[in-house]
This record gives sequence, C-alpha cells and structure tokens, in this order.
Amino acid sequence: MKYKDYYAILGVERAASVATIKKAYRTLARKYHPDVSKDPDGEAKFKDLAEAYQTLKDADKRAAYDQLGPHAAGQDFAPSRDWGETFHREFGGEQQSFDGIDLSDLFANLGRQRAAQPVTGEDFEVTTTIQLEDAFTGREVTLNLNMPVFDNAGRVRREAKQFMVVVPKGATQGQRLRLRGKGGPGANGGRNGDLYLTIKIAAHALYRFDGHDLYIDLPLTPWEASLGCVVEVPTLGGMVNLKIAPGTIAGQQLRLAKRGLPMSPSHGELKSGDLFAIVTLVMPPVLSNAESALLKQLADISTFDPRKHFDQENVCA
Amino acid sequence: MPNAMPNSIVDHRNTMWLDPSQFVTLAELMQISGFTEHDIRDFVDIGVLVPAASSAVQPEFSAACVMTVRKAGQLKADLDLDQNASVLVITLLEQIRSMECDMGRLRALLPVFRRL
Repeated sequence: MKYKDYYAILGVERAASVATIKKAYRTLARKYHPDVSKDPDGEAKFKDLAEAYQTLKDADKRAAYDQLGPHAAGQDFAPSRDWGETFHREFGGEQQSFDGIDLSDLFANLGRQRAAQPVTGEDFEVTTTIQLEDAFTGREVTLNLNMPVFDNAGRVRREAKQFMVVVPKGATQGQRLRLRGKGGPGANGGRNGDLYLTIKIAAHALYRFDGHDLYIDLPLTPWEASLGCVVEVPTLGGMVNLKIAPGTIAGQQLRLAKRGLPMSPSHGELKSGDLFAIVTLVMPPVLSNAESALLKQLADISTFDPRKHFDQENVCA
Repeated sequence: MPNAMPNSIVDHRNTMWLDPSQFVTLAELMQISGFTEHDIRDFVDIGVLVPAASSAVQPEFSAACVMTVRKAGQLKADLDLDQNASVLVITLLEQIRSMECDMGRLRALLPVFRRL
C-alpha cells in the first residue's frame, strides 16, 4: 500500500494537538469541499483531508498510524508483522494480510473491528442523462459503480458493479430517485447504503421542458396570426392540428392539453402535463416586389401604433 | 467491464421518487440525513422543515425535502457544523432549489431565435 503523510496533508506538526488538527481540517475542508472548490483536484484533496482527519482525531487510530513509522509520501510499504499483531489485538479481529488494501481501508477496518457497532453502508449519488423521448416512454439505464465489498474477514475492497434501473415514463429534469439499500454494504449488521439517481434530460432540438409541461416555439406569419388558420404541431405522440384564432399575437401561449410528459400514477387523476405552443411572428427573409408593394399599401392605410405607450407624457423625467 | 452483464436489476418496490407526491417518516429522514430526532424536531420548530399536512402523531415530510436535508447532513459531517449552521444551510439550499425551479421555468418560456 502507498503511504500517506496525514500530518503533511493537514499541514500540522506530528505533535499537534487534537484542537490544532481539528482547526486545520476545518480550514482546508472549507477550501477543498467539492461543493465550492474550483480546484480540479479539489475532490481528491478533500477525500485525503477527510481520511487524514478521521485517523488523527481518534487517539487509538492516531497511535496506530504513528507506529507505522516514517515513510515518504507515496512510498510503497507494508505494516510490520509486529504492528499487525499489536493493533489487531487491540482493536479486535484476527491478524490479516495487508495485500490488496490501501491505507484508508486499513484504518477504516480497524475502526470497524474495535467499534463492533453497526456501520451504515456508503451512499452513492449518480446522474444519468436520458433523451426527452425516453422520459416520454420510459427506459432502462445501466449504472457503473465502484462498490465497496467486504470479505469474510471484514476487509473492504472496491469492485466494479453494474446496476440496471428502469426509469419509468414521466421522469422529469432533475428528478431524483432513491433506491433503498442499493448503495455500499453495511457492516456489523448495519444497513446498506442507498443509491440516489438524478435524471437529466438532454436538450431537445424542438422542445423545452419544465416539469411535465413542454414548450415549443410556434412560428407563424403575420397573415396567419391575423387572419387565423390551422397548423400542424409536432408532439411526442405524433403531429396534431392546432386551430389558430384570428388576431393571435406574438408571445401568446396556446395550450395543447395533456400533450406533455406523462405523470406517474402517484399524481392522482392528472395523467399528463401540457404542451404549450408559444407564438412567434416571422417575416419572410426576402420579399418579392409584389409582397413589398402589398406591405407598403398596408403601411399607408393602417393607423395601428404598437409604440403608443412610448408617449413622452408617460415617461418619467 | 464494458462487456460485463448487468448483475443487478433494481426492484422498484424499494425505490422512491423524491418529489412532493411521496412522503418520508421522521425515522427515515433521520436515517437518510444522519440528523437526530432532536435535530429534526428543532428544524420543524424553527420552521425550516414543514411536516406534511396529513401527519398524525409522528410527523411525515414531503420526499422533496430529502435531498436538501441529506445535503445539510453531509455538510454538517464534512465541515463539523453546529445546529445553527445546519439551519442556515437548509434555508439556503431550499432557496437555491426554488431559484433553480424558477430558472428552469423561465428558460422553458424563452423562445429560441432561429434564422430561417
């Protein structure tokens, strides 16, 4: 196993008091916590900090660590036979081989044997990205996790494991699923940890989404909006005809009921979200001479002023 | 590994969507977050956690609060926070969650400019 200098990680002397160690941990933890650190190595540094703190704040574990003797950081080493006999006797459990375990697991194992208290398994948080169409129909996703596994002697190792989870239809952006007991195994009779799955829905070329509701931009020409018409609108369940009433304006939201994402049965009688078509008015990028002439004619005869509210009297000085 | 067969298909009787349509008991929330019963009742008394209206003797909470309370529990453990700090953390996390919902809603309403 590779040696880690826990004192150097925390930036304290080997004779530092518990209070000094605690203060050093708090300062560095705030700096490297994964939720705030912009350091690309922040998460790994935080993990090392937490590991160092958990060992050095415990008098017995600290004593065991100190007895490993001085080594260079990163150096390959193995605890002596005497060390193994002494500390496994003190903490309980049998002398074990140190093959295939690392320093963090070594002290975690010691703590587990000494405490003989139920230890809850590790929780895992995973994000999976699905397509909007998958949220509409539901799909299976495969998760790959590095799970801790205990052998008969209670030693922990990491093994790659795959889980298949069915994401039911109606999943929404950011929705979270808790899978009880599907995290790391517990120890000493402790419960297994949980797996938390966060759903992300990939951006869609046509639709935007908010919860179970979908939004689509509906481009209309000014004459379609003014005179009214029927247009085809794509939904996740196929094309539908939408009647545009005369006098429809830009920005208006036209509701296509129950054409959004389906809801789970726990939502009661509501079965689906809605699809909202947001009207945008679009002019042809290039006008023919005849089209230009007609528009000029309209401009000459119309008295409509869309900027009437810009009247100076209504503007504060 | 890429060719490994999935070695577990999750039984959905043990799954729960963490949204307002689902509820967790006080005991479950303690288990998930690491907070004690005293801590959680303290959060309720202060008003940062609101039990579900249908609660009977033992309070139940909307599953939507699970991730917030769990995160607060993690930060308490990681950064050695006291109860006052945990209250502040829960308050701020809820504000962030609410703002993220509002932003998602506003983004959905914004039209996308397309050059035809």
